[in-house]
Amino acid sequence: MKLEILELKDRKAKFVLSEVTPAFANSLRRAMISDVPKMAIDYVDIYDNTSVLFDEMLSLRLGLIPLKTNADMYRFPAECECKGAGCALCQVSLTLSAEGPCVVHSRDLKSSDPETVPVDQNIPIVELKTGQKVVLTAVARLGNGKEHAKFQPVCASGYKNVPVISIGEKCDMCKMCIDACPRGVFKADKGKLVVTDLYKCSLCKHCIEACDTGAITLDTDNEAFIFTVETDGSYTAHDIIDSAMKSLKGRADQLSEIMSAF
Amino acid sequence: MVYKCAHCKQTVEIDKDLQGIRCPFCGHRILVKERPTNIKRVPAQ
Amino acid sequence: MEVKIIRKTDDEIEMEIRGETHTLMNALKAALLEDRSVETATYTIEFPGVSEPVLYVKTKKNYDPIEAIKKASSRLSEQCEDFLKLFSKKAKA
Repeated sequence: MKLEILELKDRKAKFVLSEVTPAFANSLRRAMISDVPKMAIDYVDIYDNTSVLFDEMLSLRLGLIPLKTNADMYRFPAECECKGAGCALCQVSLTLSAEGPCVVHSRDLKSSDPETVPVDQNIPIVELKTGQKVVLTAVARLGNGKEHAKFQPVCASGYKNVPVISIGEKCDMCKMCIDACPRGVFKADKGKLVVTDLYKCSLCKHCIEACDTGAITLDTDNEAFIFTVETDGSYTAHDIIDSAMKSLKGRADQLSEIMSAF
Repeated sequence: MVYKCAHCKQTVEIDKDLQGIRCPFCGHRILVKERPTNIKRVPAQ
Repeated sequence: MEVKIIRKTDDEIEMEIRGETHTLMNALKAALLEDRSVETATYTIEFPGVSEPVLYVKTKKNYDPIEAIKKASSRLSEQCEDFLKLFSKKAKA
């Protein structure tokens, strides 16, 4: 197994994972989307809502607001000591009280836990005109992507195979491929055609179409993957990748244990 | 039933079947039912 | 996760792994197919979104299919651990 990290920022990661099966890569991708626990608003107790949005629509918008998540501090309600009744270990309360004229933003939500707050302060929730009010208490809990899209911690989690570009002897340096390539993958270096950045190639095959001699061949490495992960801010990219792989490992371990009993 | 007159904005209490739908103060025939005071629990999905 | 064995013989097993999805099943299948003593391994989800996945493994002579699954899930777990260590190391660099 080989790993090369191309980019690792708070909200984005790009890495090349090679010498693994496509199944393993796919399982990591899926785990990032649906198995990483994330905090999101689950239900809303509405005291007053005279805004233009009806109760359920307002609640959906609140549910979709990404909340910073510290999964170590909370449990899934089903696994909590309170058995799902709701307590400080499995729930966070966020209150909102606003009267128009104004635009209600995510920053107007006041959380009972200073760590579980909206990732972005500037998300508009609803616009209120004069006399319109919104007064509510929203309750957030941990959930995973399998349950509802609001619990997905990633905006993008995907991969593509690493291309294999070979330039044969038939190349006559006509340089048509350099112009044809939309990504600037080729360049002329000391009289020879070379690949500048293999990972930029999108496998569009314009180079092959442009080549008269058939010197270029394009293939994919079936066991090497360029992953792109973009988070919504609830976790750092590093933590999502870590948590997803731990989740997969946990399942494999659980199965091992069950099978040992047979 | 408690309604609010759409015209004079006063809170009006009438029985629609007996007195008909009409504001007793200004005679306007459009009344709005105000939002009930109970807390509504809505799932965010 | 709950495992229910539907059918088992000396060299075949059909078992339901409740509560799982392609995330575990496909990775497990790939790990099973790496084992040269496994003749075939596959899984099916009859009605997607509704039914539970069923794993089918057929082994070569004298190899208990349950043993094959045990080894495959260990192998998968090790692979995950390799990734976690590698990622942790590279992320610090």
